[in-house]
Amino acid sequence: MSYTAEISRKNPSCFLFLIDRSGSMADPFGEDSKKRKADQVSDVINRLLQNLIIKCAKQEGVRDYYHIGVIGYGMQVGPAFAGALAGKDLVPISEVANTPARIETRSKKGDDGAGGVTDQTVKFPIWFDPVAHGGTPMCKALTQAQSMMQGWTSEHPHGFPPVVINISDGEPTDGDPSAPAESLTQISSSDGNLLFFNVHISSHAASSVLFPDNDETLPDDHARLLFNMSSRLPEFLRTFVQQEGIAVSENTRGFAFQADLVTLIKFLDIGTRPSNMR
Amino acid sequence: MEALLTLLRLQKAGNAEAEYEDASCPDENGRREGAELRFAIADGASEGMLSGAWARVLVELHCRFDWMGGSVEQFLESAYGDWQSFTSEYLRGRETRNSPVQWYEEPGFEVGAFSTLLGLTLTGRSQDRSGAWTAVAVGDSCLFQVRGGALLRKFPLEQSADFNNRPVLLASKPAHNGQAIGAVRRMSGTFEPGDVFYLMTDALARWALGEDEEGRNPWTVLRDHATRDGPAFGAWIAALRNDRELRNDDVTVLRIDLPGREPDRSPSA
Repeated sequence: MSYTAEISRKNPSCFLFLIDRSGSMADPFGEDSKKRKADQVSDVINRLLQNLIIKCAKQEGVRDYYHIGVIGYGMQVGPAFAGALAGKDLVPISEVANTPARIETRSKKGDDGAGGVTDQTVKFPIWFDPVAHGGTPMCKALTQAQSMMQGWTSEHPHGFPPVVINISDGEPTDGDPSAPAESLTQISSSDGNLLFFNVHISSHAASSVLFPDNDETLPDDHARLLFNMSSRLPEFLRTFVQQEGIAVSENTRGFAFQADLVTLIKFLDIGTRPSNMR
Repeated sequence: MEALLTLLRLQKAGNAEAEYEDASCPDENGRREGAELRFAIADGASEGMLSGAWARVLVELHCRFDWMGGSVEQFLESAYGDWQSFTSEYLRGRETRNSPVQWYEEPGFEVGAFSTLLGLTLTGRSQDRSGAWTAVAVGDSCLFQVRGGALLRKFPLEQSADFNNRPVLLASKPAHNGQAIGAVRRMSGTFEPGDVFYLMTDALARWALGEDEEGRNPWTVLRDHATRDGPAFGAWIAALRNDRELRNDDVTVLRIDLPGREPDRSPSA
């Protein structure tokens, strides 16, 4: 059975993020003209990393259930970590946890414990700031991802398959990325094929879409391109997504339009999760 | 009434011994005597902060709580108090060690800790070594009563297929316990001389039920292991994990042996 390998420090899995840092990311994000697509990309990657790290946190430390890589593509294609992690391909998640560029505080609405709502401040670590410069060499980024992930799966042949998440506006400038995306999803461990998911950050005003099972409702060709490159959700993920109230079919893909994929992280199985834990 | 207690435990493979997050009370082997004997195990959830400590709070409280006069809500009130004392001391210790709570720990501390609880109370009649038992359970830690080498009672789960990774557990924060209070299960029964009770956390309980369902008597194997030393138990568990017969998780077995009938001392005819 696929996607049942244990994820532990002894048998870690891997997350690789591809982030579009091209010039077109300076365009407005959705209807919100004050926010650029590049701002949204950095919000999405920072939030995904934050949630993944919290998932692996225990008292007094973060357990290295995952190794994390980030490839940026724009003026250049390559490892995008800054600071102490600069130039590194894949790093244990505890190192990422301990080296954010800075920690901001943000406010959010929270339960006041008495049926009301209260403003709370939460810490929001920042690893990536917005960048928008150069072309969109997505094909080159996918080829680089393929090489890294082949290396990972040859070193972890029986591990839980790597997850690659591409965050982009879907406007590549170096050709059709469908073929390199297809090659990427052919990489596998004995536990299943690599999972390739896409987060589409768009200037389009259409409302957000999460885990669709066809491309008919998507607003443009860029969204359709990214949707069709994305892996179909394996059964265990379809079950979880369905529990979140999203209708699924065998064609449901790991694709989000104007949304993030934080939902997916909640369902990574690294042990017992109480059903009364929110 | 007396009982012989054997505790076997092993942390999840790949974890350090200090990362074991089950708990048991009592937490050492030996003979126990009294008109009423209490036992408990708990399995701290891998997601959540300080789950092992919360599991310990629950088992220790079970062994001293007045279950005859107290409700589940009162039990939890006492547990929240014990937890508050523990966490205050823990956080003071972090400050003293100059090890402040990090950003990634804060959401976990906010949500709190979660654990199963399985408690057993034996009340004996001194004249014939028999008596009554009551049990309380939340989550998937299991009680098995074995008589003459065969499974007599199982509680709260009855089939190996009933286990999953999302049990309702007792939370250290009252806000998360609405569902758990409704999920508290109670059971009672009687025991005879020579009966054996096993309290097991989910991984091994699931294996034992599966073996029993398949007609392979796991109780003989467990009886043999309970009389061997720790390393042999560790090797046996490691082999089951390697063969994927056992989920890689902390394992705890509390085996309670009740003495057999006293020899008949009446004069022979």
